[in-house]
Amino acid sequence: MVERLALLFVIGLILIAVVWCSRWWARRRLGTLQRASAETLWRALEVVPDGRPVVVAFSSPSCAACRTTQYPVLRALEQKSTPAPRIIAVDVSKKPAAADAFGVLTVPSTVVMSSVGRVMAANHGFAPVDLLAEQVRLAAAGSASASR
Amino acid sequence: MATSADGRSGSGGLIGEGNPALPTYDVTARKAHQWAMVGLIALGFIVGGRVAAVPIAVAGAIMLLGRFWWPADLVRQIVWRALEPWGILRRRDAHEDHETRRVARVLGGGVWLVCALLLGIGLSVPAWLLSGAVALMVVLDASVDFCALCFASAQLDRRRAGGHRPVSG
Repeated sequence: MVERLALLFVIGLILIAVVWCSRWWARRRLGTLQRASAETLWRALEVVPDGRPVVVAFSSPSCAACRTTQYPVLRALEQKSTPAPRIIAVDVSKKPAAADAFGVLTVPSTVVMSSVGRVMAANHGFAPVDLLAEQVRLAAAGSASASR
Repeated sequence: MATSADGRSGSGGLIGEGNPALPTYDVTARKAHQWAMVGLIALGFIVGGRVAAVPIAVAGAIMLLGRFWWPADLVRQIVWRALEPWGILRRRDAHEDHETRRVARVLGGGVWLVCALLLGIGLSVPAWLLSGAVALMVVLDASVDFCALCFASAQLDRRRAGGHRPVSG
């Protein structure tokens, strides 16, 4: 029994290390995205900026959570946020280059960008509407200060 | 209006149209349920032997039956009827993905019931490998909201897409 308790303790420590590493990786990934040139990101998305803050929503055909949960949140976000963000949906199976450019590992994933293409936030997994609305507000503020 | 990266926009886009209703869920009850299930698996592991099949079978039954028959969702019942009203746990409602979790719950409950059966007939190594893998997924979801099924399906989709990607350069 003592051996099993010790083994569980070690597994617990490994899990804590994994969680810590994943958070470190997420911060590092956001830093990398923030340093990436806006032009590269726009090119990967195959869109041109139109002056609005952007929410890039990554999904895949087999992602039930994208259809049933993340998309309704994005529709609500369009109605809730002022200014309304531009929402760009990316199917990672059709646009693997865009997923690579943004370092997407899982779906749903969302990336919030200012209108000038600066990445403000990256969310792995489902992102609730309040969180996205706050990130869009910061992105809009960031765009305004950048254009001054 | 949503725009897809394929250049489509509006009702033809991936996001779609309509005024959505965003249901909220009790995150506290969900996490209490998940940690309780992991606790049952850990208890089984510590006890060891064929007796370990009992807590694993209980966890599997709560997962599987509780998905389809709410009175069997014992931990949530305890949280809603006792722990939250008594102020031991504080209710936190949020809109989150429960569609994937429902599928994962059925799969995980089924696997744990099979593991209990395997332990009952003395096949402890595959039983602990399987139940440990499911418990690990539950821990990751409960602690950092990481969806292992979503990660696996996204990687599979990208591998499939990569197989058809034209070679460049």
